[in-house]
Amino acid sequence: MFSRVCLVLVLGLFSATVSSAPIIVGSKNFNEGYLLAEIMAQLLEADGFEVERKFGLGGTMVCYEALVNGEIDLYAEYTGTLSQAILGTNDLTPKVSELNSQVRDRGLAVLASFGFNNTYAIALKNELANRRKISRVSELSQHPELLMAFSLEFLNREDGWPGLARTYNLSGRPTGIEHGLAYQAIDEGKIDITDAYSTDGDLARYGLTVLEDDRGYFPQYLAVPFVRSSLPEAAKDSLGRLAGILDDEKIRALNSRTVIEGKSFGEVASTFIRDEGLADVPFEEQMGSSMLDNTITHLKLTAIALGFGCLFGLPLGILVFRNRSLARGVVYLAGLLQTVPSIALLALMIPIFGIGELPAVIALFMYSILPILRNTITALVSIDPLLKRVAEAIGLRRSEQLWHVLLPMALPTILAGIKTAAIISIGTATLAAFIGAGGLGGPIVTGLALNDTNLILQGAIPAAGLAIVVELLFEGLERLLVKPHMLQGQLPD
Amino acid sequence: MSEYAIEFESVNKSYNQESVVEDVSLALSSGKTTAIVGESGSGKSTLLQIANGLVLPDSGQVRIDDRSLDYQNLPIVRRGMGYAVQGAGLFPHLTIKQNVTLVAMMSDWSKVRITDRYNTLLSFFGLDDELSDRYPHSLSGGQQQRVGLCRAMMLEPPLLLLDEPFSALDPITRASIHEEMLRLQDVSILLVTHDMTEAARLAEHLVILKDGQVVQQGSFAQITSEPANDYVSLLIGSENV
Repeated sequence: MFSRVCLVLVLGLFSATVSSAPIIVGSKNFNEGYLLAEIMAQLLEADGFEVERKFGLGGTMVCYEALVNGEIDLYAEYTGTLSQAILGTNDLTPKVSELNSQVRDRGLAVLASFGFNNTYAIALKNELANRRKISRVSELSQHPELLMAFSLEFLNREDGWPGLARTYNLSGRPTGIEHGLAYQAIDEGKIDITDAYSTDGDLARYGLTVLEDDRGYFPQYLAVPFVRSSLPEAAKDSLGRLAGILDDEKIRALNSRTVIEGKSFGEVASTFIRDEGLADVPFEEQMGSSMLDNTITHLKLTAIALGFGCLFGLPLGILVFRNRSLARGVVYLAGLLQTVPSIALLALMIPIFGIGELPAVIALFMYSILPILRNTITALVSIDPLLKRVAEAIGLRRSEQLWHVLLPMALPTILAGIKTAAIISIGTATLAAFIGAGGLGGPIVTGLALNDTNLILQGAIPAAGLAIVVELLFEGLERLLVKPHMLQGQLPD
Repeated sequence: MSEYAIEFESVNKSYNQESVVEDVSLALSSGKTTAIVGESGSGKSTLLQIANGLVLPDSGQVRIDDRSLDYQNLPIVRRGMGYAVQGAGLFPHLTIKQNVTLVAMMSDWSKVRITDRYNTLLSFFGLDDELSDRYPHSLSGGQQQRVGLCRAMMLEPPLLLLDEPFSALDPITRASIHEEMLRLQDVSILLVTHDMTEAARLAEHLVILKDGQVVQQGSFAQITSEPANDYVSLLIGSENV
C-alpha cells in the first residue's frame, strides 16, 4: 500500500491534475465501441456535462474491471457479453431488467438498449460461399479443410468458439488472430473463415457473407450503456435519450462511414446526433493526441519505469551478488515475472491499480527489473576472482572495493542491461494504450480497430525511432563512461 | 619492532574434511625474508592467505608483530602488509598511477606524500614515469609485475606477502627483479614459491611444506646438507640438475 501511495505521488507530478469530477467515458478497442462511446460522450457534453474520454481499452475484462473500480463511469457493452462473459450465466436472451438486478449490488447499472443486436457472426468471402454453396453454420462441418482464424476473445469465450464447436459438431482447429487484421487476412486469402460482428461496416467492404446461425447458438447482444450506479441521474436521463434509436441497419451504416469512408468517430457521432435531432452539436474535429504528445507520454512512461527499475534492480543486484544461492533465487523470480505475457500483466494490474498511467508504469517497471538485475549480478559475479582477492588483500574496505574496483569493472555489462530494459520498455509501452495510458500505442490500437495502416504507422514509426535513439544514446553514454579497452574485454594477462 | 614479523601457532585449515594446512607453527624473523617452498597443493598459498585474513584458520592463531591478528579491522591490518601475486592482478580500468596509489588515496595520505612515495617506488623499480597514465594491458609482463610490487609497497608496509609473483616471468626479467628485491631493506618478506633456486637466492630462511605440514626449515645451506627426507632432496635435486 505504501509503495502504491509513493507511486501515485510520483505520478501525480507528471499527470495533469483533475479539476472537478468529469464523467469518464471508456470504450473497447474496436470501431463500434469507439463510435458508441463517442456518441454518448458528445450527447453528455451537449447536455452540459464535462466529459473525459478513455477510449481503446483492451477488451471486455479491462473495461469491466475499470468500471467496477471507478476508473471509468460508463462504456458501451452488449447484453450477451454481460450475461455470459461477465456474469457467467447461460442465458441466451438476457433481459436488461434481469441484468440490472444482477449487477446492482456491484454498484453498476445497465441502461436501455440502443436498439440493435450486434451478435457474433461467422463470415467468409461471398465468392467462396457461392462456390462451396455454404450458407449455414451447420454446413461447415462438411468442410473441415477451410482455414479458420478467430479473434482471441471469440476463440476463448464460452459463448464463442468452444460452444459453437459443440453445438455444430465442428472439428476444425482455428488459430487466433487480432480482429482488426482478420478481414485483411481473409481478403488476401490467407484464411477462409473468421468471426465478425453482425453490424460490422467491414462486412460490405470486404464482400463477406454472414452464415445463418441455423441452430440459434449465438446469444442476443443488444448494445447498452453500462454505467456506474453513482452516475448522476441527469446523466442517466441524458443517455436514456439514446434508447432504441439505432437499428441494425443504422449502426451498420454508421460503422461503414468510419471504416470505409474513413470519417472520424467524432464527425460521424456529431452528424448522427444532429440528424436524429437529439442536440445541435457543432462538429469540431477533435484532434487525437498529436504524434509529439504521444511520443512524450511514451517517453515519460518508459523513463519513469526505467528509473525505478534502476533504483530497484541495481541495489538489489549489489546486495545479493556475493551470496550465490540468494542471487540465483532473485534472478529466477525476476525471470518468472518476465514470462507473464505483457497484456496479461497489464490486465492483472487493473483490480489493484485501476487503469491509466500508474498500472502501465508498474508493469513496465516489473519488466525492466530482470535485464538490469541479471546483468548487474552477472557482471559482478564474473569479475576475475584474482582481482577480487587482490582488492580485498590490499586493504580496501567493502564499499571501497565496490566503488573503485567492482562497479567500474562491471559497468559495461550493467549499462548493457539498462539499455536492454529501455528498449524492451519502449516496445512494451505500446501495449499501455490497452489500459488507457496513452502513448504511441494509442494510434496503434485505434489503427487496429479501424484497420487503418496509416494510423498504425503513426504509432509504430516513432516507437521504432525512439528505440534507435535510445540505442544511440546508450552507445554515447558507454563511450563517455567506459574506457575503450574495457569494452573490448582486453584484460591484463 | 618485535622479534618476529609473523607467528603461526598450531594453525589448521581444511576444506571439505581435507586438510590443507595441518598444525603449522612458524615464526618469521623481522627484517628477514622467509620463503615457503612446496609443490602446488602443498598449502603454501593458503598459509599466506591465513596471514592476511583472506582465509580463516579452523584452529590455531596468527600473530602479527606480537599481536593477535585483528579480524575486526582487517582492512587496516592489511594496509600494513603489502600483497603481490603471480600475474600482478592490476585493475584493468585504472591507470598505472591509479593502481599504485589507490589504497593511499583511501588512507588520507596527502597528495604530496603520495606523489613522493610513488616517484620513489617508480625509480626504485626502474619504471619510466611515461607509464603512469597508461593502462595495465599495454605493459609487458615484467613491467606489470613491477607495478604490482610498487602497489604492494606503496604504504611503506613493514611486511610484504608475495604469492609467487615472479613465476610467470621470463628468466632474464625474473633475475633483474630479484636484484631489485635484494636491495630492499628494513622490510620483512614472506615469499611463497615452488622454485627452490629463487628461495635460495632471496630468502635467509626456508620452510619446506608438503601436504600442509612443515617438513623442514632452516637456511638453504642447512637444508641442502641434511635434507629431512626424499621429498626435500627431490626439491633441491630438481633445481641442481
